[in-house]
Amino acid sequence: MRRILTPERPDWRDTAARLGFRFHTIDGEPYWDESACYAFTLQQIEQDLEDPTFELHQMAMGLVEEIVNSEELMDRLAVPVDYRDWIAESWRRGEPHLYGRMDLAYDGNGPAKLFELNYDTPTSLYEAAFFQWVWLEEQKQRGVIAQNADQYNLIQDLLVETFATIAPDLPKPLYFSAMRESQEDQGTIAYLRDCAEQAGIDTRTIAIEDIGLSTDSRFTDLDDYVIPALFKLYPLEFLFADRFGPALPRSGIRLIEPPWKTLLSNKGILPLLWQKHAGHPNLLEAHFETGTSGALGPGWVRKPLYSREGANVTLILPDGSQHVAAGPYDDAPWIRQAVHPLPRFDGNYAVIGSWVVADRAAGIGIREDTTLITRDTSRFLPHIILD
Amino acid sequence: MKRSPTVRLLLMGAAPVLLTACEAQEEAVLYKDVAECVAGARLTQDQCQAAFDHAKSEHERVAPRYTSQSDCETDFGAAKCQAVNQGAGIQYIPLMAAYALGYYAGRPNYYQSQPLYYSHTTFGSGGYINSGGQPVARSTGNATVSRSAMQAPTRAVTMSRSGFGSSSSARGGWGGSSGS
Repeated sequence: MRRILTPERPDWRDTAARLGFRFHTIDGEPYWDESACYAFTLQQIEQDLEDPTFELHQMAMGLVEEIVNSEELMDRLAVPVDYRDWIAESWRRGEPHLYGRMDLAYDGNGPAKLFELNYDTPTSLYEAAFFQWVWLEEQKQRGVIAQNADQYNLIQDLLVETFATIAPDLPKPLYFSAMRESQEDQGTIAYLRDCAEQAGIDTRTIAIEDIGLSTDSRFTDLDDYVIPALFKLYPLEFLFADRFGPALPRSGIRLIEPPWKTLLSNKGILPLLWQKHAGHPNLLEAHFETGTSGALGPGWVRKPLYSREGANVTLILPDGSQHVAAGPYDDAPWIRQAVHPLPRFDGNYAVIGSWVVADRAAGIGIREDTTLITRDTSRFLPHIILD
Repeated sequence: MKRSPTVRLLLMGAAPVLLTACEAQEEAVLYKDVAECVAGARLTQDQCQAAFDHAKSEHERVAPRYTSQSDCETDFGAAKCQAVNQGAGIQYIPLMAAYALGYYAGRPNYYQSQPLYYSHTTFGSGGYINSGGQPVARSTGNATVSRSAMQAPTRAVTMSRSGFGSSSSARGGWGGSSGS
């Protein structure tokens, strides 16, 4: 695994505009960054990333059955009581899931370590599945990247295939929804909707804020049509906390990701994985924080059960130095995870987002940040496989 | 190769690449009225009537609606629209032009028939659409249609909106994104 400086395509912004990539620059800061790329060997990709991703995913999926049958585990994960039956039902009915991203720390040597699962509302999808693919093709055509270079990226193939697989049992049309003003989230759902259309699914879009509730407790679009199925790029726990939340269980709506997926997006899954697979080479030691946990010591990270984009994470390195990311998620219980600092390349901390589509390892995207805690300020860099 | 052999965009890019949809197809049959249904000899007179009655009863509730008669006639033709008032003021809907029923495992779904409307623009030169605006068939008679076209969308009376989305703003619009 190497970080290689690569000349940018002089016309990449035009290409982005032509291909619908509108959030490559966020609030004036670069987000898509092709001034460098990461190069892996095929062995690093297959043995150190692809296989562990599949195995970690299987281990996580193996916990769901146990959680939905245990009030005690539901308590530990702080799942709201009113939604537990509904979540469990969605699992027992086998409601299909679409995708997830696990964040891995990996420096090219030794086992990748699982930081967390983003299994409810993962983003950075379009840039990983599509735009980085286009980048490689164009850079090869222009002779910037070697002709024999490849990329670990079957994400779009598997997304379209998965949509086609779940289509027959999905009520239609399928609505895609995100907060109206978030350009990044809107871009992500536009891409997913495109993949669904490619699979022949009839789709619509609606802003999360525009969803209506009918007199008979069903969710409606702006023309009063009942929304039979909804892809929501909006955390399930936010839906619960919102005014319409209590209507969800009896609304009959089909959600993607399905309600049970929130259990795996919960940071509490990390101590549960450790309890079951203590010492697994791809896991970091993790525990639930309790009243007797004491102050956070050197070598530990503290994360809220529910958090996004690195918010509210506190990290104390073995040397005692403390790193804190402020944020709004200060109202849920916490977990503690052993510190495993991200590898540093040319002064940048890199984290690997490893995609799972349906139940298959699908590809990776890399984000860099200037701090140890990867935030919403990170930049996305493309990668290649080159032996 | 560890990457997708091709990638495509249908809607998102400036230049879409069109692909063949691979949605499940099902058999359906369209009739203009009960007489045409009976003449088709696939259903009894009673079944034809029951299917028509069901479609007719759904018609006013599910038909595409317009606030002006001229907008409606632009889409469906002169004198092809009717006024309705369902508590939201006068609205205009196209006349029911035909009805359709699907076949499930070879048996007619005459109790789940749906109203169809004749659009001069669909299929290029005109044809029948369902209440959701999806093209169903060019003409009456037997047809093979996508499964979703036979699942007519349902409407309901919305009493409230903006019940979702407040958790994100309460959390300060974190990074402008709800994703992770």
